[in-house]
Amino acid sequence: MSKMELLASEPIEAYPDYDAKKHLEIKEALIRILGPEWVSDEPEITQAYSRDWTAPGILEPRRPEFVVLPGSVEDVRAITKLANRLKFNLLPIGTGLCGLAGTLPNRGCTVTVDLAKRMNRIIRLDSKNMYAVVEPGVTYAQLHAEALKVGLTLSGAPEAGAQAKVLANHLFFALTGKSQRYGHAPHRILGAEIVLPDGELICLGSAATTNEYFWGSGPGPDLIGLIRGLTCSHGGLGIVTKLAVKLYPWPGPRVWPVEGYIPEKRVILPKDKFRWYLIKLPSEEKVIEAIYEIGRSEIGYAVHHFCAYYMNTWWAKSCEEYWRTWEEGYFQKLHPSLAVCLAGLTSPKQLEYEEKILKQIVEELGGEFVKDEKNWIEYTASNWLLDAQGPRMHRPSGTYSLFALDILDPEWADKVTRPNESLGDKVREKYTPPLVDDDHSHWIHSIEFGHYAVGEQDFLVEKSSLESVKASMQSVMEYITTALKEGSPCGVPQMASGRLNEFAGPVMGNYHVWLRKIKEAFDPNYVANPPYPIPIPEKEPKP
Amino acid sequence: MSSAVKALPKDKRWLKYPGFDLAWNVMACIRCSRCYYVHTWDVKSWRFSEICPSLKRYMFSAYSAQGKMDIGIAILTGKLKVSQKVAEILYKCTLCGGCDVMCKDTMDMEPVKVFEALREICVKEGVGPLPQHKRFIESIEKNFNPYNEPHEKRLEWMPKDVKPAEKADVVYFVGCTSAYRRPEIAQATVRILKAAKVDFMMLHPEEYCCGGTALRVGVRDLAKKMIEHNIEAINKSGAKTVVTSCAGCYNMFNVKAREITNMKMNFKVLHITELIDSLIKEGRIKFTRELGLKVTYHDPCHLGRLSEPWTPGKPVGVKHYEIPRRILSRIPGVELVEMERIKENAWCCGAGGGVKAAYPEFAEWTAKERIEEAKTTGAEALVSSCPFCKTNLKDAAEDEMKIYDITELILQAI
Repeated sequence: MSKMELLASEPIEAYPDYDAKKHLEIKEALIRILGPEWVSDEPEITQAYSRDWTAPGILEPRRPEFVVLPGSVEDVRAITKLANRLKFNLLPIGTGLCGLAGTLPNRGCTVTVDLAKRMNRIIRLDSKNMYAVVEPGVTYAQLHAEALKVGLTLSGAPEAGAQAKVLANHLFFALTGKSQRYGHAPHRILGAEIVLPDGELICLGSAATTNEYFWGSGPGPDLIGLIRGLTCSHGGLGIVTKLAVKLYPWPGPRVWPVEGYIPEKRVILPKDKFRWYLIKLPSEEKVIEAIYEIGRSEIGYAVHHFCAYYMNTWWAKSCEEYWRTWEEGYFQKLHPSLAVCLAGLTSPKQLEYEEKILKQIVEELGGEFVKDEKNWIEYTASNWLLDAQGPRMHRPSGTYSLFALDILDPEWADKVTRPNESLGDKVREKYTPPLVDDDHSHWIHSIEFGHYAVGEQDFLVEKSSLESVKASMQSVMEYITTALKEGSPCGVPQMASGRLNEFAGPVMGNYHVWLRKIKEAFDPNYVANPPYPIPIPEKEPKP
Repeated sequence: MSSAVKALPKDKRWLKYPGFDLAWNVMACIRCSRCYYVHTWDVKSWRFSEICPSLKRYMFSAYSAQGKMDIGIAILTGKLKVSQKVAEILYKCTLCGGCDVMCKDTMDMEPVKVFEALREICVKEGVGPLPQHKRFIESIEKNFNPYNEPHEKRLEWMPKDVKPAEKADVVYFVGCTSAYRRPEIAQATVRILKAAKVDFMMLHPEEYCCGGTALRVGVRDLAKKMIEHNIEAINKSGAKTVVTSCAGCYNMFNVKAREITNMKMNFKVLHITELIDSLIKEGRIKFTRELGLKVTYHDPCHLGRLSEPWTPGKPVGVKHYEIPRRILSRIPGVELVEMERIKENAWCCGAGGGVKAAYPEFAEWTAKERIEEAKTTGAEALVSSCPFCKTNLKDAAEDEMKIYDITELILQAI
């Protein structure tokens, strides 16, 4: 094995910013708040918090000095106040898989606040008003299971999978399977409870005035923007300890209908209520036209334009199966295509009506319905209504990276991700190999009936090859710098967390200026997961 | 590969899983956290959604499979000493394989083998096995069982009315736990065999511990010695079939033996439930008594998700999910109701991996979780098919629930 393949965190004492005296002071104070059971600075424990799902080599793994497990909002407040007093950094995490470094220590005196373990309750599931209030540790799968019991559903889970935490993922970006109908996750946030970087507790939305969480707007200027948005604050503007999210009526079974055994599980949904279609269209332009037409007709439960890499990786049950199917070219032949799920939410008649409209649209655009020879729908697509197989995207070569993940209109989303034409595709092509073959990934994800969409380009990276990992870093940086130079920074905002905001801001309305003012106002001691959401240069430690 | 494929991974191990390699496995972990929970599609409630007893009990991510992968990375790169704390984290794991099967759904990886390999490193570095384990390791070496019981008393449980054959095609491999701690399972097993007129023999005095206990605490050499002795003895006996009533012994013969020895086995290995299932089909076992009992079934880890060798992309354990349920459903007056976490999603009983010996409080806590889950079904009894599961579940259940091995119910109904 090469060094890269197993890159691990150095002991914290090896870093020049380690201060043994301060470490001890922080430790004693944390134990006074939480008790010794919930505070650890043992390297065997902190090592588990040293990486996210990005390959070593892209990010340097680093252990936090401490991991703490708070059990209540009072604990979080006390730790936050202590951080201000003793000047240490707070890094909140949920699942911790992030992929954008927001959950990784990047400096000394970092205390990782693992919120998922002891603050993991579903506080309320209001079936009448269709919302749930959750603590940071609740997963999509847990909330979905409880919601199904009372005939409700979530908007699906993000690409990361239903093991991801509802709270952090809603703040972050959350592209979920049913966004065609239910919109983008940050827009489904209702009330919230936040411990600000100085330890003050505030409630947002209707919770600000009534202690009820049914509505996302509260009195006066709406501070909910502090915790959500494309760039996401990664805890840099406080720690969210409760969040209310919308739920929706579910006409399907009260238990998720699964058949078979791992890894060959299939989801069989009742056909009078849910139907998936694989539609091949003559061109990329026709795919986008179809997305618009489906939206204008107000039909569709889930509408996605997937590429072969996604379809294969979510479907395949092993590396060998993935590459065998890749060689066959089965999923490549489906391209360009749309995967559409229709749902009879009110009755089977609704489904019949929507199907009739969809058939008309497909016919008018010269498309055809494709036979699902590999049971892709049962193995993969149907579960997108609850879960997603994003983790499987790592399997064929160990990891993947991305550019051009952004909220746009569908036409624009196509433009910035289109095979052979988009900037991302040209950059990716230049670096392949050592990047791994992936047929020009291109995902258009229709949101709110095509009012907007997400365009995404992911590409396979060989985790065990330093050359491939370096190429992924170089390609992403080349993509970002070229896009910024050209003044069309599509894909940059979502990736531009932390320091990258400084580069993206000047070509995007100077948002970095007011973002910095917000950080300065709310986090005067610069303890809330610096440098997120944006660094304060005069407070940054000298390199 | 076709010419249309422009750039494959250079390392061919990504194209086809090459077999277990510790460094490759820990490197491949993507920290997705799927190993924390039962399969996300199978979550039926918030309450019973976790799969990892160690993580649920000790909470820091280091206790999860992902955390142990991180420990592996750090040890292999020399960034972490193999300390007592490393040993504590690694040994506070029942090796139940819940994480293993969830991981295999996503990646071509083998977490349980990683944990076993790391335990072997602990042994080499002198921090493993734990003192409590050393006692039973010494006993295995001296008495061929981990319980410090005399070898000559291994068959003391044998009922007077049952006479094993001197020579037969079938060997009943009783195993240490049934022989010395759960004789009722051994007795039920031989009585069922007698009732079905199955000629069987015992290996004693050549039956030794299967070696599973030693293997799971990282003492591979002793495990190898034990299993090789047993294989040789069975080969010499001329038997065609070995029957076990212990899930651990079954796993050792059927899965682990292939990993630690090249010795050829001239026999097939069946768990008693497989044999009984066949005997019922052949009409050689007939149920005559109505039991009037509502039961729920606990899948032993070693007779479920760890019961068959893994092939990437293929399910494991499938037949052993179905057989015990089929048998229970045929017993007159038995109503089978299911818990939420079953089959590959089963919550461990808490006894495995040396936990019962080294961390009895954790073992009992884990079992109590299972009892709580069983109680939600309304069942009067929790049934399993492993003496180790029965012991630990019984210790935790006290009088809250009846605990049976499946052989006991079968015998009652014959």
